[in-house]
Amino acid sequence: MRCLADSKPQSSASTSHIPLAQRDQWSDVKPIAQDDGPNPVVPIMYSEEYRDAMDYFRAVAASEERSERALDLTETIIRMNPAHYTVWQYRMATLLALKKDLEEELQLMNEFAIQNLKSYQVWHHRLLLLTHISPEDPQFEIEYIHQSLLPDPKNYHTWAYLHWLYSHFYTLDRISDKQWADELRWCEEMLRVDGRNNSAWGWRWYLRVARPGADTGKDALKIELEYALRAVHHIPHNVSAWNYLRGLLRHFKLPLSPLLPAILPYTARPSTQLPGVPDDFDFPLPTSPLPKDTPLPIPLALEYLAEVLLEENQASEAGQVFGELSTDYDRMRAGYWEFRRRECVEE
Amino acid sequence: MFTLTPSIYQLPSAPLPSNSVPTDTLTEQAETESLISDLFSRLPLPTSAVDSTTTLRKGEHTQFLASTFFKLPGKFVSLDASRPWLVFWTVHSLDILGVALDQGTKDRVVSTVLRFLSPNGGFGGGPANSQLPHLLPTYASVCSLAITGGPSDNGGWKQLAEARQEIYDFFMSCKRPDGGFVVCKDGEVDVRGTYCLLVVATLLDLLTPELLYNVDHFLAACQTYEGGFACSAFPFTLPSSESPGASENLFTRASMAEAHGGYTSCSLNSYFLLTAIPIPNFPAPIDAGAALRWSVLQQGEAIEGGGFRGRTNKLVDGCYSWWVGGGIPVCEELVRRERERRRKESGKTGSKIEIIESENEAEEEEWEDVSVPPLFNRVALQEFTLIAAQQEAGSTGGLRDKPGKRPDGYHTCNTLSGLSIAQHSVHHSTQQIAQNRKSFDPSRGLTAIKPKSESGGWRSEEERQNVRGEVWANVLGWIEEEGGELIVGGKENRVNTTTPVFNILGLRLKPFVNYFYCQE
Repeated sequence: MRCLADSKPQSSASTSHIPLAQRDQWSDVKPIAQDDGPNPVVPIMYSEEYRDAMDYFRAVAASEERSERALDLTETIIRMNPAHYTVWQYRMATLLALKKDLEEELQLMNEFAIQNLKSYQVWHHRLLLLTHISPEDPQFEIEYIHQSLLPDPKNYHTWAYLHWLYSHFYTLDRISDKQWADELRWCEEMLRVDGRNNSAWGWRWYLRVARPGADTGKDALKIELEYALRAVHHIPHNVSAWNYLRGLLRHFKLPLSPLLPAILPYTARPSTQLPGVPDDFDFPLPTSPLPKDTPLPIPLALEYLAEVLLEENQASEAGQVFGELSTDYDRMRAGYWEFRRRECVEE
Repeated sequence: MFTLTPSIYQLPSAPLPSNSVPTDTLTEQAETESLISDLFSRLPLPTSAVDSTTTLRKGEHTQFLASTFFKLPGKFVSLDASRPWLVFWTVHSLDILGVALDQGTKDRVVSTVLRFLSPNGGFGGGPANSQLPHLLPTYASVCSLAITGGPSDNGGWKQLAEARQEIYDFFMSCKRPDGGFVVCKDGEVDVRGTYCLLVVATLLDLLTPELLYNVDHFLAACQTYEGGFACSAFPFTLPSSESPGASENLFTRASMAEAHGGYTSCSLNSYFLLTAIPIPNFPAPIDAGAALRWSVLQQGEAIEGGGFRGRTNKLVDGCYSWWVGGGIPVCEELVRRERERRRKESGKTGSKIEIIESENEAEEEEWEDVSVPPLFNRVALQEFTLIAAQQEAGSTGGLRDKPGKRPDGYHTCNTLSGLSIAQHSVHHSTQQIAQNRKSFDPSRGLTAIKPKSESGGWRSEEERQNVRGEVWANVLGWIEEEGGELIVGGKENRVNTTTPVFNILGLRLKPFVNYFYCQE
């Protein structure tokens, strides 16, 4: 594993306000002003430092200068505006042209993260760096991403980057079986800590279903359905768990009805209407009693029931359940459930 | 009486049940619930009386928008690469509010935006001598020109028409073999780029087979198990260069994160634009029913004010009024088409729908399906907007994520756009499209785009004209249902009607697209 701690920290950009024109280093460059035209709308009252840096950046970019001072200039600008995609692009091209040590650049990106300089571009720059560094083993980066998700466990950019990291290095055949297994354990730990974290559920889907090489054989699928059901039983009002369960059934084109005995208790139908649990039913059942603060019925359980009824060609019964969702149990979505009800009646 | 769009004030204010499992998500949810429900309990029912707390404070919002239009303080430097968005958020918000700009200001907008146009095609986030062209500011710039410009010499449309080929070449330079687009040179690939590109290519008559190649597969792969869409999809196997035509289905792809409101909006709208293009077996299907279900599930409960959240188990935020709410009319139309197709396949003629034999032969009288109820709670979303998303009366004006957050242009624009969707009932009308088709004049048009590769264009002029006609007819297919208005808080709260998919007013869209298709 590469040890990033050993690499020398990049000196931070100059924060002095000496105009570039007064620095010997820049005496050969003629700055170029921003071409806004007369009387523009949405003009920004730039700081002197930003305007000055951009004036020189335009000149540098116009002559396609690839130099250390150009790199310094891009860093200065990015620190003031981390969303400046043009400057990021120029920086990366310059790093490559100068054959700079990209691990040092990665270190700088870590520093940016600590200083909360966030943008689409910071993440994309990181992605390009890892692509070029192309480590034989990306473990250090995996660990870095895991660390950065701890204080910010739903950061969309970070999760998308983690998806990319595994996907990219998988295509290079650099993710070991152990890494896949460790990653699944890490993901399960995230879900153990907060079973409502939908980002972590999405990651589980990738690891267990979507990635090439995921085991989606019969046994693995049963394990997955059990995992989802247990999550529903643990937090019965958790939409993430319901969606994951439904997603599995839909993706693998499985009928909903076999799992109904594990769902029915949440529908609060009178027990006289409920079929008993079949003897050979071997999926997890709800806890008894249910967790405290679990008001019934749960709308998503009623939806599940209605779709089982549809599956069994009992459209009018299904319509009735959708109707109850509309009139009583999920009034916020009354229109949608009414739409589902009419579909049952009209088709 | 039983209503399909109950008010927040008619619904029980119940928190998300804890199931005795407290987690960080639950804590954050509970904080937001109390923040919003406190506000609702302090304010009167919006429909009961007209006062400053329950009206849409148009004057204040106009002031807010104006305050950042002619001069922005230095802290806005973080948006220095998003200046076309600053323009779009302002001019579109004012359009929705019904505030007219004087000609002098419009001229200033046009001349500012034209500075963002790169000689190599595409608009940058700032002047072309400072910033590279980028797909997102290209959308924002083109829509801003549609709103404030015109066909006169300095109106911007002529300059845009002259730049069509360069814009197309820029688009092709962003294209990747898997059907995704980088947002700029060496930039990231995600569906925001796809959406911004497709809107502009549609409006400016730039569509070609080579531009569209694999875009549908890319989009379909972004749909997640939840039904909403993720930012991007990863291609695990690359297409072979020898037989690109046969390769498109050989991709193994995976969506790159969880479903998200912003990306779902971009994906649904992109997919919808593709459905107008008459190519056999195109676009590769998505699951519109699942997208609709995901979308309606994002609407928050009464205790959260009925706003939309952007992801499962996240918090409501005013900006998703557009990103999620604005996708619902699109889902509705896609689901309607699926139902129609199913009925056609099963050979049944529905009692309310007469089947059209071919999309191009809509001569037969067709009945609009009138039995679709409102698919989301239009009343609650308006209440969220008025009570939770508006900055407190007598303050700066503007709309915001949620109480306690500062208003900004982005939230003002997207919250107002969603409010417009909630107030108006807009449908993509097969009758209107059929009528448009009849009036399309293929003899009129701008210069055909020159494709990048020799085989990249339409196979014949006839095919190209057929595509142009269909695309143009579909762009102008959105109509407002008469009597479908539903306005909370009194008539003064009415805002103008934005067009789904594009998010500019219909009265802006029509002359603009007609200009580039040379139609009337």
